[in-house]
Amino acid sequence: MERFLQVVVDGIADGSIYGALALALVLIFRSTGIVNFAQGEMAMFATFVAWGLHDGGRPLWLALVAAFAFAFLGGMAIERLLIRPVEGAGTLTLVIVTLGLFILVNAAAGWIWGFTNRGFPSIFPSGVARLGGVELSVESLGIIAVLLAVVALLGLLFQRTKLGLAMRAAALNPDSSRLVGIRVGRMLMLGWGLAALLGALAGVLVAPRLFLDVNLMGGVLVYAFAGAALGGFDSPLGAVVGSWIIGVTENLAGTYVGAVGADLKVLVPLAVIFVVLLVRPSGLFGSPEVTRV
Amino acid sequence: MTALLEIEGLRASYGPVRALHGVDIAVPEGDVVAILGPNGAGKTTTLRALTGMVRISGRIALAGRSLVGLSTSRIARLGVAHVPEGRGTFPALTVEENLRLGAYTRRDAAGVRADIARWYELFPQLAQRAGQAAGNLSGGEQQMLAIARALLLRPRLLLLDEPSLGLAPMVTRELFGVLGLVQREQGTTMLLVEQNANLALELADHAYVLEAGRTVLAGPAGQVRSDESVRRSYLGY
Repeated sequence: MERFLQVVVDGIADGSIYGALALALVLIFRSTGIVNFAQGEMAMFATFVAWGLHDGGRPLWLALVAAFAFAFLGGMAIERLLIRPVEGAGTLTLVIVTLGLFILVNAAAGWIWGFTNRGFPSIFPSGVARLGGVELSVESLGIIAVLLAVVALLGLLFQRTKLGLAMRAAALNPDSSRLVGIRVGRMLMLGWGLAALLGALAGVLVAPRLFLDVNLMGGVLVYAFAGAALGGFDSPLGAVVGSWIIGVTENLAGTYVGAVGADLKVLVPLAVIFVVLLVRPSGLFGSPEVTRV
Repeated sequence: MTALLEIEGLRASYGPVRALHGVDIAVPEGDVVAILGPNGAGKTTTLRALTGMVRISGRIALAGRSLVGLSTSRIARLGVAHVPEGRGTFPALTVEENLRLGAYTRRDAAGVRADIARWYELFPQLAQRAGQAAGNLSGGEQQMLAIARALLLRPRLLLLDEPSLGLAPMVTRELFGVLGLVQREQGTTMLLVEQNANLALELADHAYVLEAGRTVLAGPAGQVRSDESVRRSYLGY
């Protein structure tokens, strides 16, 4: 029983990391109508920025804050310089641009930091906490707490502030938004910045659990896709819940299904994507129509 | 005296297709001006040109300041509120959120709250459905919401594109009653495009008739109403 709870909590922690990246995907999907394939690579790049600063002798917290700021500004710059010029050019064009961005960012990171593995420090102390007689990893609990805080903050931003309302409006009805005086381009830029920030968060949370290299986020992106597809690509809540489900099933299958083990557990999200697309294409929380109105 | 809004020699095209060939309209401060004309005359295009939604040449000035080449959001922030065909609301957002978005450019939070309360008083249907998605409202309620949304900007100039389109006659009456009330109370300047020429000329001080992208007739509403060709073409008697 204790083992089972540990696996579930670790699964929710993994799912929280996927959830942060899935939230980034959903944010951009809702405003731009595309899936940003480069989201993971942007996150990896920001994680390397944090690693580079920390490796150069800066304290970890400062390196993280700088990396988050870098990610936020970088995300806005990418929207302004690469996405805005092809806005309205059709889904395929935009998808190709994000794929190009994927390759560009990946290669740039390799060029700057090389292709070797680096260890990345965790912001949480190692060790376990006893909760109700069960030993749980402090890091896992910390990751879950961070994601819950992020979800709460995003909820406050989008539901309680004028800026958040304007961002939602700009994503839903750009023309109507312009008529009430909203600078739609600026809102989209902000959305990309926010998404890049969430991605960077996922990056620095997952890096200590794996090794940091240029392919850090490849696997995480697949799981985040699965989470977002399961929850519904247009639902932030769905993205988080979907990612948790993915994280938990992945860990349970890896632990208890002998045939799956650690090597094949990446098949779990792929199977989930397949089944969801087959049975309920809009996902658990998504609205049936995900076209832009 | 110069008018609040002056349009001179306005030309516009959608790609290779010319839609406006020279429209001249003046809207004096505090007045209601109606634009009449058959389908395809360029009425909607004229309003879209005013809020920067089509490419144009010519002169458009709001209180002497040129609007040509400005972005739609910039024009809104200068105080021009546009209720487009199709209403320009946010169907997925709640009624209350729609109204708050209407006041997006304003900084006086207390004034906005007071204005929203005032609109709920004028349109009790909106108050009952404050927390519902705007897309669930009836056609008439959506048009009320669109107009309330536009007026929450506290505009210097309100542009209305076919407010009666698709509405029952009684609902249209109510809507125009409210427009008249707003005009009397707040002196809001309005530029109105309307198929229902009778209603439009009742509310308007001045009227312009567009045909094939040109101004062909202009004058005080009473005079336009008694014009022989207008009566036959648009008033139906």
